[in-house]
Amino acid sequence: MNFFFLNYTLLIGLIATVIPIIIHLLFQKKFKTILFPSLKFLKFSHKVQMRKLKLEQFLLLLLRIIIIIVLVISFAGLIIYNLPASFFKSHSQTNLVIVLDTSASMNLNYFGKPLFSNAKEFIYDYTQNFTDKDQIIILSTDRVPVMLYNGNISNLRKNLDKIKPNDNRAYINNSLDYAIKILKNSTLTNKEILLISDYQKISFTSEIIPKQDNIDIYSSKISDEVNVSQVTNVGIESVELSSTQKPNQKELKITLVNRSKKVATVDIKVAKPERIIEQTVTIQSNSSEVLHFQINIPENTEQYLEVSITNDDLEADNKYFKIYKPSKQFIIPLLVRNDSDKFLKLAMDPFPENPGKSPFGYSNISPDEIPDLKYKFFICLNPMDFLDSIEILSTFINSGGEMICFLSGETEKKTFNEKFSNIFNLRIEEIINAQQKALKINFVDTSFPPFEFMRHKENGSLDQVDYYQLISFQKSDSIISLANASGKIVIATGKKAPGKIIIMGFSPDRSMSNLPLKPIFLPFIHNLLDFKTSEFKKAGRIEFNISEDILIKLKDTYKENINLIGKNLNLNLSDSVKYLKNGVFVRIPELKSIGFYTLQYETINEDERHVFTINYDKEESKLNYISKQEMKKIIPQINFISKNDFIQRDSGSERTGRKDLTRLFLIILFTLLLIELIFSNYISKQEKLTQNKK
Amino acid sequence: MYKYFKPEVISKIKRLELIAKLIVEGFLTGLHKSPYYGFNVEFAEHRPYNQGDEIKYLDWKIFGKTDRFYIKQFEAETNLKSYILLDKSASMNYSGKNSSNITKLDYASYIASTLSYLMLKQSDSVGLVTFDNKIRDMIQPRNSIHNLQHILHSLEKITPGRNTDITPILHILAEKLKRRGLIILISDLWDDPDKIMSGIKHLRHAKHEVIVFHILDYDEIYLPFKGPMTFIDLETGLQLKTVTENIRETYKKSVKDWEMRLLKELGKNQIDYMMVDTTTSFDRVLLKYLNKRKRLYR
Repeated sequence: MNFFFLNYTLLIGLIATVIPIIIHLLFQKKFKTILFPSLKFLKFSHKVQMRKLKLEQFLLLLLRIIIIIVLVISFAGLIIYNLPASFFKSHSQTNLVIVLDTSASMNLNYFGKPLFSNAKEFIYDYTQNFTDKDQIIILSTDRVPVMLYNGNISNLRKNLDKIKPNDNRAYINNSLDYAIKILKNSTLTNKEILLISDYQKISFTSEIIPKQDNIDIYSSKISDEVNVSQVTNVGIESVELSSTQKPNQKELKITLVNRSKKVATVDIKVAKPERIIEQTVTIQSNSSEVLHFQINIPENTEQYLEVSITNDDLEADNKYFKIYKPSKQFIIPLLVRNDSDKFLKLAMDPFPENPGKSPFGYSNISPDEIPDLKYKFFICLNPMDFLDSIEILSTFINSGGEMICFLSGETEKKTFNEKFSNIFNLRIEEIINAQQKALKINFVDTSFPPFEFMRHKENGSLDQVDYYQLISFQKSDSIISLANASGKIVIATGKKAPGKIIIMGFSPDRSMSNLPLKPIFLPFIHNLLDFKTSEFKKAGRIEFNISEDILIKLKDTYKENINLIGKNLNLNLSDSVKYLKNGVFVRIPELKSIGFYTLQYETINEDERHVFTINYDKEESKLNYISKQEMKKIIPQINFISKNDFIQRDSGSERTGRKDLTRLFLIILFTLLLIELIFSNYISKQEKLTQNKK
Repeated sequence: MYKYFKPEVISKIKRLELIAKLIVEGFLTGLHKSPYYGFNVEFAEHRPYNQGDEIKYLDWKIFGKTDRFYIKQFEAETNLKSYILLDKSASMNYSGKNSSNITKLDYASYIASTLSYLMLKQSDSVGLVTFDNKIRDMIQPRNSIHNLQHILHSLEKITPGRNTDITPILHILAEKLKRRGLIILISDLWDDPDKIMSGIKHLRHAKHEVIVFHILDYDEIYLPFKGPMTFIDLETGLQLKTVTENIRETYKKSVKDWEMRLLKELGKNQIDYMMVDTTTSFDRVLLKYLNKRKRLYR
């Protein structure tokens, strides 16, 4: 029988078991001494009576020690596993961390369905018996894993539908490490990791995931292995079923797409129990073909339709793969709110009197668009202005987004905490006056952009702003505070929200009306983005999804005046961009095939132009899968499961065999307390009787 | 005068001779009209007949002359040799709160001196043997005031000795005392009862008459202490930690059983036994002695 405790630190309480012993010893020290003629009969009587008394006292002492032990164990949360399911029926809560492969390869279609949809279905099935007491977390497989969902079963489906794969490769080791870290801090009984991936070799490093006590790791490969040769640019774009005027007749609309550079001839087969449709279709390069069929399907019945195509290029029949057209990536939009109800996207122009000279352009979007844009940050001038969109902001933060809030000095701590603490798990702990408490200023970064801007103050464009008073910038994992020398500092902490909320404080006399256009934000954002892009530069390579080499030449005469020159590039600053330190935007065109790309960067000195070269890496682009044996070496603890392995199981205890005995121990504790009460009462009554006899 | 029967009163008087005199004279005054007086050959005086007096001692001559009943009283003969065996072991040096700080040894000394005085008053010879694990002092019995003073002097000087070992003393005395006499053993008898019995039986075997005054303190009989106590043995120094309330009943029963056993077994051998605690009035002790003496010379 194995056991563990949910909270080992509480076992320190076992020290308290010495209390009854100490009391017992202290009691013994109170003996009065007397000289007596003979101990002969005393010894005899002592032997007879004290044997009983000692036994009673020992039992009482033992009982009290056991009570303390049971009390401590109850609080420490003893978990025993490998117990029969019938043993002490109680619900044991489960903390499940799903490491969901969100890499580009999960966009592959397998038997007419994207792998990612299969993964989601797997999650639905796996969690079908979970209750609201169980906690479910979904982690992405990004280089820095992002918490895509953190909640209970009730909201899982709604949120799971919103999760989509990205264009990057997976870093499963990183995600597993993060998952283990989360579960180590969990106080729930059952701790499980569910890894759902297509097991691409590139997703794993050779680093072994150390074996974890009390954590179970399950995994399911979401598809059979796919050969690169089987991947084609011909596929089914969509299958739609619509009603017709006849009651039992439906119209089946199949859209076939050929994104390859040659003409494709495919045999299409529609299979259903009553009827099989077979047809050969020729699709031109870079075009689509729509097929219509009339089929009989009885009303109100579910009908399984298998639509498959066979192509000469494919090695096996009935398998087709469609190239997924992902959404555009590398977006770091910065949202602020303008005077209207719209958000401003990348809407900061530090020099409004010199339009066109700023590297920033902006456009308006509505709050509803936020969740679809995959933004990583946004700026919130004053959270009080966003009360109408609070749910959107909350979802955004809880899915790992980052928000920068600018609080006006008038914002009272109490008001802010009342409105926002429950939503963001963020509380303002302290608002202090920077002038009075200069100790909060940790360092002054002289290379920080504001100082560069200061040199150009004579141009007259900076008179209206006071960003140069920005003298402190402090970064940590959960807090970023920014101080204005003449204003106030807001220190805020948010621990539970997976995303990051950055609070910046301003002095009360600052006018907030034109802030979106003030360059006060620039140095801060600049620095923040520099922090992000430095990772990109360090890596020396990043996964771009571009079909051909692109040369971007740009002139960098001055930071606020950049001309972008590029062949085949239709640059629009409000579009998806990658922002680099020197103010260069790179637009990512549509993806045409899966692959991994490298990016080179060089400066052409004579005309001060920067050149980006994006290269396609064919070797890296191969779909290469890891075997289960290899995976077992990396994750020794892994249990491979299929749908049939868990579909019959219940959540929590029935799957893991673990029992949270806290409730049982509490019952034992109360029973023992009762026995102690009765027993000590009995002993004191006995003593009274003896005294009365005397 | 009767107040001197109470140990707490008598303990205030320092001189044993005076103590003995007070007790005995008071006792005899109380007995004036009672049948308990010495009976012997030599006539002493007449006294009026009281109910219960034996008819054989009626003086018929006086009756013939006066029509009144008178009893003849005689001076005691001095042919009874008595030995008082006094236990002076360490365990005798105990006094409880209920006994007005009179140790068992003090009490035993009072009894010894009183009995000595009474015996001399009755013209008996009286001697004293004090012992602990050995015989520490021995005064041969004589019927003289000088001997009484010797005894009283010895009792006044008595100090507690070492541990008790009665049995060998009794065996030695049984061998040593050739002439038949009365042995009065005053002890707390904290020794093996079987061995004590064998020693006393040895004395009986040598034709001695034996009275045993079993001296115990009130505390020893009733164990009136409260709460947890550490008892230290006066003789051995051994310690015992216990909670008195829990053992009291068993202890009291053990003491009672002990008394009953001694009473029964000594009774079988015509040995008088009396358990007295140090608060017991002295007249009871003297009565016990006189009863015994009376039986001896009836």
